[in-house]
Amino acid sequence: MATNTFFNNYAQVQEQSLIDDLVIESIKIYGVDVIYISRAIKGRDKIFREDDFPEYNETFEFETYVKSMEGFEGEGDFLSKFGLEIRDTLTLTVANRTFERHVTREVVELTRPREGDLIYFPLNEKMFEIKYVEHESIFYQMGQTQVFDIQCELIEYANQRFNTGHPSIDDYFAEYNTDIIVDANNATLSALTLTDDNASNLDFELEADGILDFSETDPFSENITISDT
Amino acid sequence: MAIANYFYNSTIRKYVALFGTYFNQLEVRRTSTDGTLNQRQIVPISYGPYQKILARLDQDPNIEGGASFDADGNPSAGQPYAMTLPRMAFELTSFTYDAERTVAPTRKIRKTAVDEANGGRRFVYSGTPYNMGFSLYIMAKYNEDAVKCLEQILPFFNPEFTSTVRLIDGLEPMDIPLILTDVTSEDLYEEAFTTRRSIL
Repeated sequence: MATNTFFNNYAQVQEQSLIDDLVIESIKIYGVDVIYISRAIKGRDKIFREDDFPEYNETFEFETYVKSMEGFEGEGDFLSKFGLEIRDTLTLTVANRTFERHVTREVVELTRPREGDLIYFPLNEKMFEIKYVEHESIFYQMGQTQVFDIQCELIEYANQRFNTGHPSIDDYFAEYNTDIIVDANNATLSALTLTDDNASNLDFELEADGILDFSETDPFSENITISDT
Repeated sequence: MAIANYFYNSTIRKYVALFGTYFNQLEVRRTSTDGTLNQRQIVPISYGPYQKILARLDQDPNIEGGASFDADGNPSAGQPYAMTLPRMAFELTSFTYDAERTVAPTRKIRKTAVDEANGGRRFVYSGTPYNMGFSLYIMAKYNEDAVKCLEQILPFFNPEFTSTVRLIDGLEPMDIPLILTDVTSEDLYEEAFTTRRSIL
């Protein structure tokens, strides 16, 4: 049992290279330039197996093709008990060779787009987090794969740190950063209100100031003077 | 009609504010792998029900993305993220009549101040005992953020946490116990890589 030796469909380097060129050229014509932001794991917890303290410190620019061309996918905008949630997802296609040229040559260990890295999508000026990278979306055409499909969703912001040196990236979330000096007073809660449109911490505090009885001399309200007049 | 005497003391609204203020200064601190303290933040909390038009106008006023701001420093662009985490929300879920706390309706409670404009009456009749159910939700991007919040809450409830509240003007403050009845957690992590992990 063997394939026909007169047909070589999977090992022609010239053919593979031609398809690569065509794919790259197509993406250059129809694609969108994006900024790829790589993530450095800085707070890995070996018990919970997560990194709650990532830092994004390098950017790379290259062209991608928007595969979900009819619009963002996902659940869209909706109101949850936590306020407005925007669950837009996006699938971008980048040529393997493009990624290698713009990223791997700069950072050797970045051989492919990585889950957890970010992509700044310029059309709506929003930041997307890569959830999954599919490397076999086009199945071994002429014996090799040509593209990565990057499936990403709008970032959930949790005070991630940006030190890329790219001003528009580093300052992007500056006004939403709730990493503030905590001194448990109203001034801090005011600051939180400015950075989070949906935080009612200060409103509750002010409302409750009028009803909570934290009198030190009378913590249990047993000595209230009752007027008989 | 028997019930035709308008009054409104905002008691339920006060209960909501009171519940919110119990948890409005929870803090999450994050450290890097070497243990250095690097971030401190107060966890945002809000009342879950939200008028939809206001939610949209408050949080996504201009629809488009980009972190641009007006002259006052307030974000003027659309919401550039899906949501911010960790955060908490709560809602009022139930009202239950508590027969065990019922007292005779003719029992009088003396007022601390006499309201001359209202006939100078020096007492009110006893209230009707209802238990109000609240649900508090914590959502986090990271498991450890969620347990940090939880660990700061649970020790205060044995199973109740009592505070003294001036609920109605003219009456002496009341002790209001907040009783923790149930804690559940949910971590959706098992599905496809493209499915969002949700820690509640």
